[in-house]
Amino acid sequence: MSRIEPEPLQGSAKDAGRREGRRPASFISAILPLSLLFFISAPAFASGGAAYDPGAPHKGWEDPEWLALGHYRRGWGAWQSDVVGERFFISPEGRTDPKAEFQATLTAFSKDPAEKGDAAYRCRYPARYNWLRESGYLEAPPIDEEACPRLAAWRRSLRPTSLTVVFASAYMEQPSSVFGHTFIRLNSSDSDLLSYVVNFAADPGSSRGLSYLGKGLTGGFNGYFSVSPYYAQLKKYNDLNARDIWEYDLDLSEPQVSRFVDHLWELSDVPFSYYFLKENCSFQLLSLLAAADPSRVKSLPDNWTIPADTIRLLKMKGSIRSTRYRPSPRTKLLAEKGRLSKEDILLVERLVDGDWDETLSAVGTLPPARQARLLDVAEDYLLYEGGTPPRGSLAEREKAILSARSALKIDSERIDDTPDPGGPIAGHATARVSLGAGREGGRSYGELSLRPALHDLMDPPSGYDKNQQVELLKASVRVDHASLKPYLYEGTLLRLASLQPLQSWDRRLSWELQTGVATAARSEIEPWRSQYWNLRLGPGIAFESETIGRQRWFLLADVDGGAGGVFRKGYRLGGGGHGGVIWEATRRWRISLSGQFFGYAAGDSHPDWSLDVEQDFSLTDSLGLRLQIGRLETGSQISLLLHAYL
Amino acid sequence: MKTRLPAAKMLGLVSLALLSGCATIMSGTTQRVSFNSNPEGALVTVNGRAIGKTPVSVQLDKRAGQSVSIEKDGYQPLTLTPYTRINGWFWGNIVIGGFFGSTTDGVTGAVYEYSQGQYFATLQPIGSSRVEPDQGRSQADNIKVFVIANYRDLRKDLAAGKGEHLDSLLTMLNIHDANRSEATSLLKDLSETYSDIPAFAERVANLYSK
Repeated sequence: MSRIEPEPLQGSAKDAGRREGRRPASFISAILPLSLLFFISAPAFASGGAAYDPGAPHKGWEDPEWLALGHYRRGWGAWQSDVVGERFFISPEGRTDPKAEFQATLTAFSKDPAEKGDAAYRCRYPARYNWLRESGYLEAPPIDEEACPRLAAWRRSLRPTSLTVVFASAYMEQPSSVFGHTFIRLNSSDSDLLSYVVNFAADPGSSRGLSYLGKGLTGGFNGYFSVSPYYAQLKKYNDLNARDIWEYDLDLSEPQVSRFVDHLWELSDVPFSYYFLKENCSFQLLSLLAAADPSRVKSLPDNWTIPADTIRLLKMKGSIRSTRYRPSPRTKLLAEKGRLSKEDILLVERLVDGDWDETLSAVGTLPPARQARLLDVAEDYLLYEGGTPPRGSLAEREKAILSARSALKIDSERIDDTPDPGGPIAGHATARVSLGAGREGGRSYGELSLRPALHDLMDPPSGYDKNQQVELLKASVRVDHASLKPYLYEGTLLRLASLQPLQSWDRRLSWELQTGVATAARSEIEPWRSQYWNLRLGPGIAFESETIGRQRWFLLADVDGGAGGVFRKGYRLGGGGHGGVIWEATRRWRISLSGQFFGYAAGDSHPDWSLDVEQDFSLTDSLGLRLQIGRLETGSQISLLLHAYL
Repeated sequence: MKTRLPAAKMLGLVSLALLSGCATIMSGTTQRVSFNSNPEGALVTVNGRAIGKTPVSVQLDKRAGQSVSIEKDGYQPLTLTPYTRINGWFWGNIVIGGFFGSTTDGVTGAVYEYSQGQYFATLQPIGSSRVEPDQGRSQADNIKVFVIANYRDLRKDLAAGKGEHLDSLLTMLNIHDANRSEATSLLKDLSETYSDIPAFAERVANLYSK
């Protein structure tokens, strides 16, 4: 039995009505959800009351399976399907009326002549047909494979015996990939690479950059399920974006897998509503799994869900049977480098960048097994440096390396034991609520903070990329102890950072970006009158060291701008630096020391600086303590917060 | 595809991107680009100008905003736009490296850049939906596409004498158990003889027997 949680309807959804095709991305539908988000900041798993009691007797159209097959969700006292197209529904009211759709479907099946071939309703809706038959609502023979040749041919080409949820880790450079991505692999007995995957993605047409981001957030795109071979998906994710992959095998029975496949057929070219943050790839994949087995995916989360949440939800339901880790080419290369001696590292570099003939003869004096190893790593290093396929002179060098390797005629000793750093299954929950108190500039305060997503560099790193920080819609409210005045201390829309430690084979730029409401530290103005809008971004570098735990050193050069009444002339624009070290002392304890200095050339020229020592201690998997001691222009500052990850 | 750049150059590029509204950084002015497809004989059009039918090659200007389309009767047309590596958060497009991404979304088909400037496109029949990939394609053609798309991984596996990509290829070729090691040597010899990747793929596909 499944329970469909109520969900508030978006204004634009009502307006879209029953039109086929794109939904309008109106200004109102953009602003309304964003402003609601900002000030209400609903936690990721908001659940209201149940829509109905699964134990009570119900009619067919109230059955959770039926609602799952129609992708219906309840909101404001009415049902609405996530499918935006009309073609999917047999009844004209199908999109908003599960009962009408149920009755129309039964009618269509009973009046369906067998001779219509693939155009027959039973061939177009095999999942509905089979479920109605099995549940006793429909007296009819089973689907004759010969009567639906196209469906039969398609099922034969897929032949899945089990399903696997595949998670590709986050890719910071692209807005839509910041939370990672999930898709489902239909495992055939042949091989994983040849198996097909089903993927839910928006069809952005030619949108790029900010319009792509804007439209994605506000439902300007439609989403579709599509099928492609796994090797093609790997080329897209593993190679292209150097993303790690985790495969989670699902524990589903054969009839459930069959139902999944049948339902997928029903969704051929069916447009869904798509929002970047909700009803996205991960949510819709869960809804697809729900059609296969509603009891397994009991309470679909409030549709604010990110890929990692769905993995943790499936784990919670006991649906995951086994895991496999596929490191990205970058991860593999760096692991390989770690196993080479200093001398071998130099040889590999010369094989790729140096004089070919000279290096080859030097390598040729080594034992064949070692030669093979160097050439193998050289090929990997070359592809990482030069891209796949390699560019320019590296293309010729690649041919030479491959020839030399083939000429050796010995098998590689390829070790495939890159350690699994722990995928999303090991990560802390997505939302964080914090409660605490502090003192700044001579004023004591209490603080309540809410962050729907996702992770900062001091949060428990397990299951997350240690080098990445993504914070979305973080709101901190402080209450001044003396006057009991509450104020918004921080309203960050977006805070991102990517700290990539430089090493000889992996030189990537670090960067950070943040924007939102902040509070300026001015001794002459009360903090509740010092809010301003802030934008900061810039590049930098990072290094890693290992002395009693791991340290990450960073230095960023930023452009910083602000607008608000607190500033003379109402704004300021300038630049500066932000640097420090983050020290992972033990598994539970992290310490950071950081400082920043910003000077402003335009607007209010008052410089801004601070020094901080911060400590985070993990009490349990979902509770942590953060202590911060610092120095600002207004004086010293101390705060203690209790974090709860939900 | 993506080109790896040292940190200093990246810093320069990023500052340029930040300062200018839209930065386009490229080296050289033209490049020889070739197109092949499955099925062959598809018409290639660049910026509206017909170039020829696949397999075909052309000298293209290296600039952003060009569009290439590959069309054949009975198949959904494929449109390729230059690969812009957008750092989506910053206000700029940076065109780096090759023209088109290694694979585009497999909705109407896929494109693989198997060698610098050399593209292999797979077309989908008209009428097939997004959930029906590769309908009607022969096993020999499936093998050819697999080899081209996974060329480097296959070379690595052949050098190692084993591996996931090699295993999958042997399965596609319907070669099992005892015959596998012999087939592996044969494939290795073929890979050394034929350095042109589509030619290698063709030879491998010929090994297929039902």
